[in-house]
Amino acid sequence: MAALLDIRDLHLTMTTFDGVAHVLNGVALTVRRGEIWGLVGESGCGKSLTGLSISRLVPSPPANYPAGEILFEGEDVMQLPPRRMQALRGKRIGMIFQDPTTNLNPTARIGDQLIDVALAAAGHDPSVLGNAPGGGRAARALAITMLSRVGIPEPEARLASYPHEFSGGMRQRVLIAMALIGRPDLLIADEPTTALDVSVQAQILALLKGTVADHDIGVILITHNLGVVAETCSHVAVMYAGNVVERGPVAQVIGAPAHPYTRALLASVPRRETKRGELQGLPGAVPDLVRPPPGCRFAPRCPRATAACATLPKLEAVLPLHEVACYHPYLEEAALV
Amino acid sequence: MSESILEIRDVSKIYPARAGLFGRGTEVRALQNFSLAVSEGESFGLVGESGSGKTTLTRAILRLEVPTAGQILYRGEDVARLGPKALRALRARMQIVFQDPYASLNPRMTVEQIVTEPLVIHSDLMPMSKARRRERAAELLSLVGLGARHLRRHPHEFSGGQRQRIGIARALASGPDLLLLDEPTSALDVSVQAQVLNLLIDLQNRLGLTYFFISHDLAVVRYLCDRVALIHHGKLVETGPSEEIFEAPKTDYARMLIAAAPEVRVRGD
Repeated sequence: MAALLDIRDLHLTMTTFDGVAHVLNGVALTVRRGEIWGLVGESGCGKSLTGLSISRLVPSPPANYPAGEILFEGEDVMQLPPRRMQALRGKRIGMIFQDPTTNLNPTARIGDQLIDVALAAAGHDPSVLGNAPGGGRAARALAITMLSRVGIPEPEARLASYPHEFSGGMRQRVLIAMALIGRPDLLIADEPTTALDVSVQAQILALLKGTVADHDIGVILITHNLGVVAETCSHVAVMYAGNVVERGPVAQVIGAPAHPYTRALLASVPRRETKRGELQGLPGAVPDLVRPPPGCRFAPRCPRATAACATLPKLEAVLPLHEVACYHPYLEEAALV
Repeated sequence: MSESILEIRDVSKIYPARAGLFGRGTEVRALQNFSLAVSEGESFGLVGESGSGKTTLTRAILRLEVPTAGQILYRGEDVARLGPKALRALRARMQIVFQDPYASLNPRMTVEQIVTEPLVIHSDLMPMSKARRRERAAELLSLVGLGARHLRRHPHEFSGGQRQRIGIARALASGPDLLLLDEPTSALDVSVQAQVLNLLIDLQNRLGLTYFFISHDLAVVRYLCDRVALIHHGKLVETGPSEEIFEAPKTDYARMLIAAAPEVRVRGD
């Protein structure tokens, strides 16, 4: 069976004042149903642009895709005409963004916003509203169902509320309800809990996990919080400067990171046993994407770099399912898991 | 009694109800009988979720806000009763590093102007020639891991981590002994956060600073702070040594908060 999503060697360049920036440099990612993939990396590594590229939401220009495929159930979305893409977006591919405040219309009632999305989704697939005639009433019923499913109390009464009457966590729930209304097969969540308190974050992540279990969808969770990945995701892909440098099941990648970058990233997160003053930072800075270093882009900051790193390493399996793009991975530890 | 550098005694802050378009609102009790004491030389962490009152408390300590009731004592002196001159002198001793290094540095000023601004403001306390101020700016920059070569640059030429270092250098310029750190690393990537946290520890060891660290990130607070206070709905929930609070929390709220914080840990180990 074809994977739900298969990104193959995706390249993305952006025209800037300084020249052409090679923002994505051969991203490879495969997501199957039932999997929650964490996409992690520092700011500017291309994780959000990877997410946006899947739903073709990167404006072009400045973006340009010189190479690569994004196969959604075997069909390349890069080749789809805008109208078909429109049908896919929001219906089969749902998105949730970081800031729940700016992604809701402040002048429209929550209910109307949900009903609009439901009717639009039904326009592409009438079964969303159970093929019933008189879409409006069915859409309203669906909006109530979705709100109660994401844990909003008194959903029927809340339809008449405006976004400002909701707390940040509740607004994020509304956005999740909105993203799920068209019954998407793939959900892309870009930092969905970054703006929220930890207690609310825990609820939202539990909701996300429940949704995957109940509806057998695939999720890409874009985040910079490795704790969130460790607790929520089944798989993780680590990005550095436009490349996926390591990917695999969470237990293997977080438990026994093979790529020097993954190790450095994990070492910079304080843990319960970290003694004061013993946290390891990562020296150096992310490379200039207009003039990236040749080969492995992490090499200039890497303690293990050699002359071999001047050519770009490919993702290779160090264990079944656990792949690393590095000539000098930490294999001893990986083998122990 | 005076070993506390900062003492907060029964502080309450109530924002009165305002008559709005749709009638009277309700008053907001941002702080309710809040008390805590910070000892000289320690790192004290204040942890709370959004809306818990931690910002109101910080503003009250800086006297940007006057409490409705209670006292805030800096070395035994009530901050609210200081005259304008004494208040300015206090502000030289008590400085703040802000959360957002992108918004808290004036983009039109050079790094030298930014870092020496407190010296200019407090020139009555610490008179200095212009050349001496430049030297001092270079010293401050090297203290935070930057150098004299950065003096003439503007904030936009620096990364987030470097900007936060500039913010720290500015806070140190007037020679304070108490630093209020308002989520200084929450806008930074983890790798950069680690560098800034280590810089803060290093500076504390070298300069004997006292830190009042405001954060919602429990892992960071645990790493940096000797003692912690949890604030919720404007009330003190629990306070004590970090180790005790994190290993054996006494209240349900503390337990809930600690359980909810995601940890980098693989299940089953």
